[in-house]
Amino acid sequence: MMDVPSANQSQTPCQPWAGQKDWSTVSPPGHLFDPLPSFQHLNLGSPSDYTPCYNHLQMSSSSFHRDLTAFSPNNNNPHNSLLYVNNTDHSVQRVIPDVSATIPAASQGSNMNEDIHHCDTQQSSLHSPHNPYQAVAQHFQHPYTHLVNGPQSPHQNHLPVRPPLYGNESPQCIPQPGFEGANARSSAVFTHNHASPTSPIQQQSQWTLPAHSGENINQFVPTAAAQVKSFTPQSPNSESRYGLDPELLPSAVKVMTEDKAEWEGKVFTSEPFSSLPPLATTSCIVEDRGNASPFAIRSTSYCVPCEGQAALLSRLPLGALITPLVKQSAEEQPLPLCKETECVVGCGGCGASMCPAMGWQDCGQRFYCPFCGKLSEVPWQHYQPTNGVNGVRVDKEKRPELSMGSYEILNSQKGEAAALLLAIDVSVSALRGGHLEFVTQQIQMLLNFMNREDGDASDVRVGLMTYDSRIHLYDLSPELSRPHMLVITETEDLQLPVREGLLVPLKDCISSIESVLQLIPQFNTEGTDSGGVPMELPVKAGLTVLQGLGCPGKLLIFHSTSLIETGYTSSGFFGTNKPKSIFQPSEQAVSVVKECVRQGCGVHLFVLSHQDVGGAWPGDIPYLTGGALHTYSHLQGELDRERFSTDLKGTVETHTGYKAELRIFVSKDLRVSGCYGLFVPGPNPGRVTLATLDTWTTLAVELAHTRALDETRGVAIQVVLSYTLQTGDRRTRVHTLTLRCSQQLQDTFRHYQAQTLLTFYCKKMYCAVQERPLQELREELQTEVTEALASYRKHCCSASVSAGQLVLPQYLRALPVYINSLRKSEVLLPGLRSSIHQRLQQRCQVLCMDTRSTATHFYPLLLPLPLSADGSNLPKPEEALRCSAASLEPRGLYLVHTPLTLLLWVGTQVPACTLVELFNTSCFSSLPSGETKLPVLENHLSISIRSLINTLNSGASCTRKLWVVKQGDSCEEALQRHLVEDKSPNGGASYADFLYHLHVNSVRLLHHREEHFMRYKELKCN
Amino acid sequence: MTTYQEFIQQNEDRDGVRFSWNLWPSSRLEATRLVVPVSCLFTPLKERPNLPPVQYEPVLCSRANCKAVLNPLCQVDFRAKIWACNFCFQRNPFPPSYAGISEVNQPAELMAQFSTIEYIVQRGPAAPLIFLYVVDTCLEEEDLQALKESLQMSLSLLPPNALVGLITFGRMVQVHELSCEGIAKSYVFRGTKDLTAKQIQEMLGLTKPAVAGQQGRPLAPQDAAATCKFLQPVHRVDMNLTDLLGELQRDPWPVPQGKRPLRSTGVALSVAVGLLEGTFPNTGARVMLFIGGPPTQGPGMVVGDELKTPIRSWHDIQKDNARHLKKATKYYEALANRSATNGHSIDIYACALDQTGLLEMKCLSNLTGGHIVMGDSFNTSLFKQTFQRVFSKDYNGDFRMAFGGVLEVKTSRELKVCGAIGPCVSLNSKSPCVSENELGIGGTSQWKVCGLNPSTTLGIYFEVVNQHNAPVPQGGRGAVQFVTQYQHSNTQRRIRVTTIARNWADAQSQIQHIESSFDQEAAAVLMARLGVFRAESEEGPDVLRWLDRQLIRLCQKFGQFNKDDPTSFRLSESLSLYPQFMFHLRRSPFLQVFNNSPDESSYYRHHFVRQDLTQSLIMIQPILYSYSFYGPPEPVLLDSSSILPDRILLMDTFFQLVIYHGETIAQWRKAGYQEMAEYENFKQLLQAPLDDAQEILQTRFPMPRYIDTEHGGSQARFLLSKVNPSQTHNNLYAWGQETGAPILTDDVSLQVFMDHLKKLAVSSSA
Repeated sequence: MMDVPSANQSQTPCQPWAGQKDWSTVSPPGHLFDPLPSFQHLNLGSPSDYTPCYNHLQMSSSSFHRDLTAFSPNNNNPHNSLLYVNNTDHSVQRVIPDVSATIPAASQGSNMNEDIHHCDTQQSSLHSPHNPYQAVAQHFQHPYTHLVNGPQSPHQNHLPVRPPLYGNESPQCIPQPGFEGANARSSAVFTHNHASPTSPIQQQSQWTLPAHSGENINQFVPTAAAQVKSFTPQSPNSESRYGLDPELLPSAVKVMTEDKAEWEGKVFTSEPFSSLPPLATTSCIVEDRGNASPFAIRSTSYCVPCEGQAALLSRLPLGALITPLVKQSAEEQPLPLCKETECVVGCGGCGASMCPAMGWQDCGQRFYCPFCGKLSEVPWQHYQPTNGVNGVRVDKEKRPELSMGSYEILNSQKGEAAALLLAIDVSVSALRGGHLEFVTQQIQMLLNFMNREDGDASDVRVGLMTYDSRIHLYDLSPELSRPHMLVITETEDLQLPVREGLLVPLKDCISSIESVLQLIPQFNTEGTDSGGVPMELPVKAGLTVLQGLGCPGKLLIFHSTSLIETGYTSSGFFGTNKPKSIFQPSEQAVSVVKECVRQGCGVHLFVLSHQDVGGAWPGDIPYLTGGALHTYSHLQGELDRERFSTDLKGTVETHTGYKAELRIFVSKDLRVSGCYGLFVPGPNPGRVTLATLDTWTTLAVELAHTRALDETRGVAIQVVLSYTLQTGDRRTRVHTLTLRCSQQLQDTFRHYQAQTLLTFYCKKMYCAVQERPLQELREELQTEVTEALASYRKHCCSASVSAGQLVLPQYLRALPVYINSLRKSEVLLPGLRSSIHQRLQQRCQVLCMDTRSTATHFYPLLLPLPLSADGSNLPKPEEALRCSAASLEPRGLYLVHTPLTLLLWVGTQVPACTLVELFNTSCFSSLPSGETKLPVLENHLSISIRSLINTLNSGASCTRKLWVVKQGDSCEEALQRHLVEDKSPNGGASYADFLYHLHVNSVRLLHHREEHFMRYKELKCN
Repeated sequence: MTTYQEFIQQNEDRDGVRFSWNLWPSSRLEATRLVVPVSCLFTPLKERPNLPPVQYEPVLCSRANCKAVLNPLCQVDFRAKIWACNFCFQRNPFPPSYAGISEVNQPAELMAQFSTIEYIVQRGPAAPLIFLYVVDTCLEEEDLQALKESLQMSLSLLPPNALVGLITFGRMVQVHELSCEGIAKSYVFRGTKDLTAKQIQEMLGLTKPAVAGQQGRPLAPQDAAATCKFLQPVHRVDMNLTDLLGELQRDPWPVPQGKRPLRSTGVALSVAVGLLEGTFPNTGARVMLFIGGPPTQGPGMVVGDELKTPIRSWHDIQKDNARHLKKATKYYEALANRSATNGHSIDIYACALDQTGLLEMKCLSNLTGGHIVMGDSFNTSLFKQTFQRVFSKDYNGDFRMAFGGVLEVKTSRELKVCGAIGPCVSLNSKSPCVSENELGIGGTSQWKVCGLNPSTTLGIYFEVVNQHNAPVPQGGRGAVQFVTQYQHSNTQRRIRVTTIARNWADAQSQIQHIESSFDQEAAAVLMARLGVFRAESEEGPDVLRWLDRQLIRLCQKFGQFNKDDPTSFRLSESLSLYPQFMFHLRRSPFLQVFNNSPDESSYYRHHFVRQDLTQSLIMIQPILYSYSFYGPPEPVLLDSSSILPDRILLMDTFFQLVIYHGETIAQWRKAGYQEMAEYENFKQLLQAPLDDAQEILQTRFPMPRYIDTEHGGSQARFLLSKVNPSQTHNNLYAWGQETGAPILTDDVSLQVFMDHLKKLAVSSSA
């Protein structure tokens, strides 16, 4: 374990190398083939030695080989000079040459490409005879993925690189007695190195120098800015213990920027057997040509291994992220809508809907269902001939169900229109809190706004409810001269006294509601505070109202009193229903949620007086029903008030599907083995029921093989979402995604994307926290990635890669930083200052995010802001910086944007004029920190920055407060959490450390396996 | 000396008392031989227009267990300013305020004509009257509409300072808050859960939840009227309540096919009782329950909501097949007792075609002195006018209702009180004048009558305790004092004291005198009350046998006959009508359950045990008037022979008012003769009974069912079932004769009954 847990252990978290013990267990000195890091060579000579070495190293590959043989017995610890091979299909060919080829590259630069190719061809014939596919593929592959750290290769040469350790045919892997001594030595040096942590930095500056020459082959070469920075003292958080230069590590920012450069604003054509789509963070236009948009279904891999065994071998999960109600961009074609009666019916066997993946046979009389493998007859009403016996139907283009990856069916059966139910806490403490007036005003404004709007918003049925320890319902029927308040004293097993008047179309009851809302703040404040109201009370009451009227709806609860915990009453000494973890919702909450789901009732909870300490966390019910929990502290501050009104409006206006039933069909040779997201899991992971869902709701589906896949058929995934619209129309949305499959494991690896994997892991792990200990999950995450890397190294880099080389599939370059960020997220690794409530809340918020938001959440957007405005130099997201303290300069202003937070970091040396323009204060020390509203100032800088913030806010699913963080301020920790490449305040490892560890372990893993294999062989021979 | 008739009448007019015997047998043995016990019908609040109440407090005997009120029978020593109690012979000094007393300056209570006197006492604050409407909303639309209108109308009839409250119920119970502005507010209770009074009061926010250890000082008792938002003065919430009633909706829950609506009458009543109990204990209050069907859920449920299981009938009850009967009865009894303890009376206005569970709920009214009104629909004049009449006013402009009455009976030593039968509950007050023998509600000398009106009449039964060998000296008088404390409808507390005395007579020597002092009407009603009281707990035939035996014994005692010669049997004038009353009583719905539903029986019995003598007699033996061209209207025998073709009959059974047109009259009417000028007299003849009926309808409470029928009409059954079946299909000899109509019945006629009675009376073996 790399992380230093600080919240749940009593260790002092600030001890910088507290993780050391863990590290040392990784490298037991007695290990024979341990390729463990040693800092031996670093200490062999002073940094000044390197330059001469460098010159000296300009030699041919033959000399390298000579070197290798000469030094190999002595050195098995090359790791501190990790070589990052951005391993694509080239990786195999490059394994050997990268050492040799980069030597000229480092010095000659311009002719390097030729050299590489030269070598490639040579080497491929030599070293990868077993992989013809790769050899062929090489020529059409994009050549920009290469050896990463060219500049470091001198060390590689300088040091005898130990022979490649993988490959069962490797003859060099003979145990050598000398190793033991080396190991012993290395561990000694290791500790020494701790004592002088500055040494890596010195080396680093040296190493970066050659980067200029290697620019065209190394995408991770630091920019000029980075160069400058390397001379400035760095935050100790970002530095590596193992002397890795953080700037040279694979950059998630860069990956996103590249993808944006390629796809931003362009059209991605989604055809069957989809190619790798643009990243979720890239906004592009998707054209549906028979395959669902990646924004609706995003497979973890766009090439599925045919064999289940191969899939297991890859160690990477097979699955998809589905956002069934995804919002389409304005440029895209609207989703075609067809009526249920006119639509060609789907498979009768499994119930899958009609889609382009269905194969037509017998001149259109029958079709083959890829999901169950059965043949279905076409009813005569829908019969159309096909072109040729097995061709496409002639009416294919006219029918969305035959031609589109996504389409919608309007069911002939209409349900009840959804209702909006408002529940306001009027208990004594709420009335005394003094915020009810504001709340009721806001609600009133909202209702007026809805009513004024032309269209159907005024037809929405609205209900009102107040509660203290009792429930007050309101009969708002227009026949009554005044609203009738019904006080229900028996709140257990609530029964409704009336029906019709409880939910009334807005336009008929607006005046009644208004009069009630005006009265609410004046309710009698006499009486005693009964101490708290269980959250279930208003939920159950609201649910009963909806049940009584048989309609789905949104239940907005404005809660003020402290929350009291219920549900754990029966856990006596022998109580069996003890929660397994803090994340597990109470049984009572789950049963309420189940009821809500049955009714299609989404609960949105506005906690108006937030008490972080003590009391139950009320968020389970809202989040599990597709709602949300919003917390405010008494709505006194203007920011809180603003946030409240935005949240309120957003909650009501969000496009929502009610009473949703989601079915996932996959090719018959696959099965759905898990489904992760915010819902109460049912017995069948392929069938999920949700109370409500919105356009962001995203679930992760995990797939598993049942049989080998047929390469010609590919894989089809169909997501069928039946839901009720606000108006009561029942619709079914069908997304179908077809994927290629391949026998080659390498194909699979190449078609994984880091962001997708991150989101998938995030959903899976955040779901698993309910059942399993966090440490186990963190380790599992690490193991998974390590094993995946090892697997890739073993199976996809055919020839030898030096042990010091990190090999990563092209699109998974950013995976380590993402996974590290996930590992050390507050949910999985509690920090000192994060309360349990915050963590629970964050878990739920992240769980319902889509891929784009998840990626931004785990790797925030760090935008440098201009210090003076001429109106044009607004930062674009493309200019984002790496999330590291090293990116922050005391002279700058930076904006950190994640889906949940918005931070403005102000450096100590920001010019006073900038402060004046932005904050209306010239003095850095008088600048308020914490949540702030930027003053409205009429200058370019202020206007442009505020508009930037507004733009960023408009895309977020929940309203955020702007936090101003001053450099050196106590609340800088809030920012540090988001600098994910650095060591986190909660003790999470820095990116560099994690990557190092990942690599080392993956190599070691391979080594172990090999050793076992050898022993096994020996045993057999004997 | 005047005749006994006049004496009795005079006594009734003055004191509201009718004794079965106006001379009392001087020993226990003789009294028992008289068969009919010494007993009286007492109308505590008998209307006395000429009796102005006195504005001071009564003077009480100082003996702790006597406390009799100074009355005209007391011996007064004007010089010593001392009076002797005529019950315990305690000598009491007059209070200082009586210092000026002398033979010529006597206080009213000492004057003979003030044997009944009413005192107004100023004790405590004047408590307002309270009317709590408990309204069933599971009604048909028109019914509910009519009820709403009636209720709205009633608001204008209430005294302006009266407090009103509203509880509505259907599937759930709603207690409406009347004070709030801008928004109607009600508290909702589930209809299925039995709640204790404390729970109800807590839920309604009437009691502050006890805050433990709040500076250790008890909360100041709050003015209930100020805090109770559910009961508000009419003048303040008049408009509000009118609106509220106007907007009252039917119970919103759909009633599935084959089901009854769910009606939580039990909980609604429990809430009503709990509410009053918590806010206004011991203050006059009326809970007015309006129901349109039986309670179908929760405590007090009478029948399930499945229509396929009909509500219990007498048959089911006899077969012990009425599932909910006992439980429901017990529940309502408990409620009634609670309500009675607090002095609140409960009215039931049940309007439905089927039964509504009055059998189970009757005790609510019976024990608390409330009304029961039964009708077919709220949308009938029967209900509307009856309801209106609840709020009728007397000559002083006061409501004819009184609350929280406590009736205490004091007797002189030779007499003890056995019990009372009427709309009252025992207060379990053991005084020396309480007999060990119980007749009716006994074992006490005090009864609570929560709701009183001027006609409320109790039957009170006494026992002569004097032993035979220690006779009362000749000329001695026994005395009885009735002390009725009550809350007048104008919120005054009043005490009415009636003191009567009767002479003792030796039964052996003065049997003739005793016989002539017999008040056969009072005796019939008193015996009937005993019979009805027994019928509540005993099997019908047993009661009839008991009645028969009593009658035979009475005839044996007072009849003049030769042994075993029925034809020689004679009864004196003072007893001559008694057997006939008994004959009709035997056939009356009070004792016969045949043809009556349990609800109807309960309803009839309820009214029988509270009406005054005249009305009770009408109930026992309906009055029949005959209208013809041959003379003025005349009362005729309640006999089938009175049913003649050329007569119009008007029968008053108290509960029904039947106008029956004879065959010929009906034909004439059909032919439309009454519209021809030359048959003006026919028109007048037709009109005459209508006018008379109208007169009865004007005054009677509850309004009788008004039936206009004719020969052969289906409604004629009301008449035919009442008349003495002197001609039936069995005694065919009457056929062809122009005397009345034969009744198709197997019941015995009066003639047969009398024959048997004579036979048994004279028989030596009996």
